[in-house]
Amino acid sequence: MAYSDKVIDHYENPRNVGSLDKSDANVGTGLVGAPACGDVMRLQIRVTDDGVIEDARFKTYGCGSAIASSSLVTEWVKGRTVDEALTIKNNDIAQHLALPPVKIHCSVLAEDAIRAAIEDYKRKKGLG
Amino acid sequence: MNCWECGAPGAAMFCEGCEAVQPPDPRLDHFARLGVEPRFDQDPDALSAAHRALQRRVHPDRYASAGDRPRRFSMAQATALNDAIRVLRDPLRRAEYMLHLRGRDVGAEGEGRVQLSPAFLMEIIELREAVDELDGPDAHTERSRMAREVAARFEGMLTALGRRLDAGDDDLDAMAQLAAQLRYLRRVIDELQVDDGPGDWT
Repeated sequence: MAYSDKVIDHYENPRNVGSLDKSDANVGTGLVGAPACGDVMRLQIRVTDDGVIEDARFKTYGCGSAIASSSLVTEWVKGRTVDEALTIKNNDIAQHLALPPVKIHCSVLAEDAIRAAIEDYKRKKGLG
Repeated sequence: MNCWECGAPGAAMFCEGCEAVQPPDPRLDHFARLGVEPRFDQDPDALSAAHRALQRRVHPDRYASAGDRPRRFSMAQATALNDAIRVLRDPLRRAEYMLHLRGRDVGAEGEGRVQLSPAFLMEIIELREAVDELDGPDAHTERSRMAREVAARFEGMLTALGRRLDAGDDDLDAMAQLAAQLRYLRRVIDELQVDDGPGDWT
């Protein structure tokens, strides 16, 4: 199966790989997995007191599409408010990366990851 | 099924009347196909022996000069037998298959997806990061130690899952969780083994 240029670009030059301090009150951590393919994804956001996502990091063990999906999401959420970030849908990710149907679940995983990170952040802040 | 050749009822792999090879019965699961008990606890040698004995009976050489139908049916039987042994001889796949027979698909996507706890996923990420970070003079020893540790945990969990399956445990959710966790642990084991090459002799 051929990967799109955008997937290859994110795979070869992943943006924002790494971690944020998960004990920081302003950091939300999302951990999701897809037993179907054995992929695991950690996505973290650091939010300013105004509710703007100022930094995002990810670590993904999985295929190229899963890595590209999470890399793209970290780029997209930076500078957005948490509520804006919640509007990111897996379709947007899949479309942007031109994912084939068999790889749509990778974009679903990335959407789940950002949601989980925001939920974790809100829980910490008592907003959940 | 009735024999396609002589019409006699109840034909299995071969017709009892005319001995013609039959197409694989789609109602048989992998256990029934190999004629073994539908249990997790299996003797690997007995499994292989059952497969080999059946495979011999549908070997293509026996049908080289047979008609088109027997040739096709024997081939289909051979393929079905190979599918069965491939799943059953691997204990994790065997366990997953038993869950599948009870209506639970460990690899399901979407609605029926098995949910893993963040704590477990965190552990997997940390394990895999630790594998990535193996470096320096002790890396090889450390890698072997990790491989042994994860393999021991894998075996322990798999044995526990097998016992529950054979005891007729009804908690399909919990067992599917276990199976999914085992998939992840196997990934880590594979990872630890893949990189265990050149370092040995360079």
